Amino acid sequence: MSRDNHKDDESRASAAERAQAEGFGRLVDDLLAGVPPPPAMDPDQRALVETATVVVASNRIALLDESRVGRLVDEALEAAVIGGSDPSDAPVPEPAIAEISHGTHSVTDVKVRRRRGDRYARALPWVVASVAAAAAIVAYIASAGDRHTSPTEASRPPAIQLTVHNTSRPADPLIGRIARADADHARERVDILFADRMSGYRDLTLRRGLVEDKQ
Amino acid sequence: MKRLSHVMGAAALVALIGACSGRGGQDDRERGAESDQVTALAEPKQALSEELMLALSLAKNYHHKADVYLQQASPADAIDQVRQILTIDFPSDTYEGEDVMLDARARLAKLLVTQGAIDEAMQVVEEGIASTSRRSFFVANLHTVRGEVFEARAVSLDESDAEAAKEARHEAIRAFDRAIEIEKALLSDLAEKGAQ
Repeated sequence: MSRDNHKDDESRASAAERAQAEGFGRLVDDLLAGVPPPPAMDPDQRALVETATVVVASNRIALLDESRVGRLVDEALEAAVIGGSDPSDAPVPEPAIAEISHGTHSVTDVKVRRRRGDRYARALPWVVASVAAAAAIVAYIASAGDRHTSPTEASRPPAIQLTVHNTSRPADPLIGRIARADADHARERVDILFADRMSGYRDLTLRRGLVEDKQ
Repeated sequence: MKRLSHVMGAAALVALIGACSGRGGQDDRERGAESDQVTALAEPKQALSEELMLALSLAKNYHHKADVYLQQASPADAIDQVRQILTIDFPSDTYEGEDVMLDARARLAKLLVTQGAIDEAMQVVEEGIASTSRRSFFVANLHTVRGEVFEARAVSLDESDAEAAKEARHEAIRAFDRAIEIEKALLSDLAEKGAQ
């Protein structure tokens, strides 16, 4: 056998080889289209098909169908508008979306509104609780401020136990009956009255001072 | 989660109500303290104050000045000093203020009588009696002075108008009787309080 003949034999595929290659190509195309491989395959052939699938997939642009693209865009918009994902934010079943999508609003609008409403409903009790707690704190601080800084209280003398001696009262018990001969002796009477009331006033002042010192 | 948030809200509301009611409770305690004070001191109106003591001191000094003017034989100046006492602004609702004013009117009226100003003396006395809010020895003393003013008027009318002089003496007796009536009632009250 000459060398040229040998090359021709190698470069030219037989009909069986060509049929086998066509079958292999269909298998790879089916795999790329999502068709599951046949259950029974030669291990060498399976490895060869998988390798070929990877090679083909890595050498072409993956194109997604429109519904898949729309779903991905919706999810991205939701994440941007609503915020981070929440475990309770389970995706709405497809049939519901399909029904809504027939209306005037887009799927994204409807889903965003619904989730926003759900989020507000969940947040409302917490908002009420927070506002009430804040109001309670403000009320307590305000009452504490009144206790400590009320001008009325600041100007009020310290509370002490008063006796009759410390209070304004009629001078009759002190002066007694005024004789006719003493009718114009008002100076003597006011002297007596002043001395008596000054005694009570000094006692009051002294005791207030003691209370203030204790405080 | 929802139940927990409801519990939190209820707790916060309870805390808010508690804070508000606590504040009200404090006000109640303050009112209670004041009311206790009033209850403990049923008769006296208020504590002795610096204002009252200053007013009493003023009255005392005007009386002393009047004494000095009388020692100097200057009754007109003495009258002016006693008139000044009637302008003192005693703290309202103090017993001492009313007593001192009535006593000053009694002295002023007697001084005016010595100067022959009987009508003015009578006006000072009548105004004093009209201003009284309670019975006291000072009111009784003012009625006594009123009687003395009527006496002086009767003496001044003896020669010119005997009938008017007689009427003035009747008025003097009524005034003294009124003074005696008040004094008896006050002495009876004091005796009862002393017995208790």
